[in-house]
Amino acid sequence: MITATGVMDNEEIYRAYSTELTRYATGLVGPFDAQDVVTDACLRAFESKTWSEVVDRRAYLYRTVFSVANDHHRRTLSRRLREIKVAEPEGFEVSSPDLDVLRAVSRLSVQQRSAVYLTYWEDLTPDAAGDRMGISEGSVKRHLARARKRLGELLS
Amino acid sequence: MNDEKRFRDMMRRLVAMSPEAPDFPEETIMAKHTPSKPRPNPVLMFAAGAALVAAVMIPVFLISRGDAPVGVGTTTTTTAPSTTTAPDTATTTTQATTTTVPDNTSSTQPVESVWSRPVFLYQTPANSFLGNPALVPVWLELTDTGGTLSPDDEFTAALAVLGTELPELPASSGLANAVPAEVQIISLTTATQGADQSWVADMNEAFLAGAGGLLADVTMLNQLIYTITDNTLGSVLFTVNGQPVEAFGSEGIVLTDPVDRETFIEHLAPIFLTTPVIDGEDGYTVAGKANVFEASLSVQVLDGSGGVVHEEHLMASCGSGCWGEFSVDLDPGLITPGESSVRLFTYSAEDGSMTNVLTVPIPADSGVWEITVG
Repeated sequence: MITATGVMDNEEIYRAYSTELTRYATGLVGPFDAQDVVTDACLRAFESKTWSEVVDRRAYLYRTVFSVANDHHRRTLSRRLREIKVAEPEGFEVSSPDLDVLRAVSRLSVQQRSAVYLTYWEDLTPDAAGDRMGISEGSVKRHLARARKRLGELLS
Repeated sequence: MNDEKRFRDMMRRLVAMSPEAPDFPEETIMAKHTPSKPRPNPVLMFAAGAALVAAVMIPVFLISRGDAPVGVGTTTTTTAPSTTTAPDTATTTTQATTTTVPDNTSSTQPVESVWSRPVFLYQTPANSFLGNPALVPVWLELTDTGGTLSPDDEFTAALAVLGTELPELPASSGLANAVPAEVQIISLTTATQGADQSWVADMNEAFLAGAGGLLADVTMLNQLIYTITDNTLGSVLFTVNGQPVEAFGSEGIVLTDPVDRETFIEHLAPIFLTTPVIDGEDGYTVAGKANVFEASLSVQVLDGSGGVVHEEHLMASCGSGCWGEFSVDLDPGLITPGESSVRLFTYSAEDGSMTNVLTVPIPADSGVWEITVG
């Protein structure tokens, strides 16, 4: 059972990190579902039996957001974009650069999105990004190289 | 605009679309952790019990007298389904309590999805005394254009590939797969046992039969263990129907405890790879583990006709009876994707011949195996 004190602790942690976690989730699944991913991830973390023993809770929450995004919302961004396209009035051309970005991002795997976000938004080294993602530095570099290749084709 | 500026600009525009953080899910948490139910009022309990006794005994009394009341039907007794005991682990599951997005399955149109991750195959090295297989990971980019793979899970996708003939691999690649096509991962969760955390891979029953023979069984396990543990946790507990596996494969291997990359390492070839050979930021990285004489091994780059265009000597971190790690970055200029291959081997101390020879082809797309299904 979570005590009143425990709830407050979790709430404080949530208030401290939820904004940056939402930005990270936006990088992983797009803006439409970022809030749901953050909520699901925090619930998963708070209910984990090992949560009370976690030393670096920020890093743990990042990994959980990554895991939730990876598990449940991989397909959502491309579906959202398709729904937007279907909802457009006839003759209306989508020219928003943001939609262009979302389309490009939707062609990446979640791991590639995470590597790009952590490297080019958070300015983390491949080693530190690997810690966040729970993968090796070499795998981060591979994801970046692959993302660069895919996005180079899409954004050029 | 160079790549870095393009990436930074893209992230800036993406983050600019980020919504505000959602509210703290206090109500959900409190609902899940509501204190135990209030104790029932003893007076009401007594009254309810008395009413129940009356409801049962009056018809029985009337039936025993032979004048069953109209409207009293026969009572059938049903047995509650037996409950399955969960393994003694604390399993983490996802509670999507606030999701407002319709479920993927409600979509009527197929949606493209992309997976990218290493998948471990194997190759039997040439001129090897032991004949044990060597693991060779390939970097898989699998695009599912028609929603073919379900559930939406990268490990299912990886297994789907492990269980196929890998049509994108050239027959000359020498790579093979010991995981039978019918083996599936039903779910993959994390669990805590004591102070340790591990993956829990719940497999279908086809898993229990193994791959046919001890060496094939262990190779199948090594492929699965290395593929699953490429992320975060280092060990895997295999279960079937939620129960630990007490007998696996032809030899009845006991898998009731988590297994890791070291558990069956002695069944692997003296040289094997732990990362895919693809064009990363440092060139083509060739990295793996070796247990070879004096920790000494060599790497060659071969051109499309098998000619040696580059060779260098490597030292593993341990050797002559212990497993050591090795890694080397090869200049991309040495390699023509789709034609070149990388060869790892040791020179025989007896006659100088190449032994334990592992030859890894480099696929056309920078070493990445791109597969499309759907």
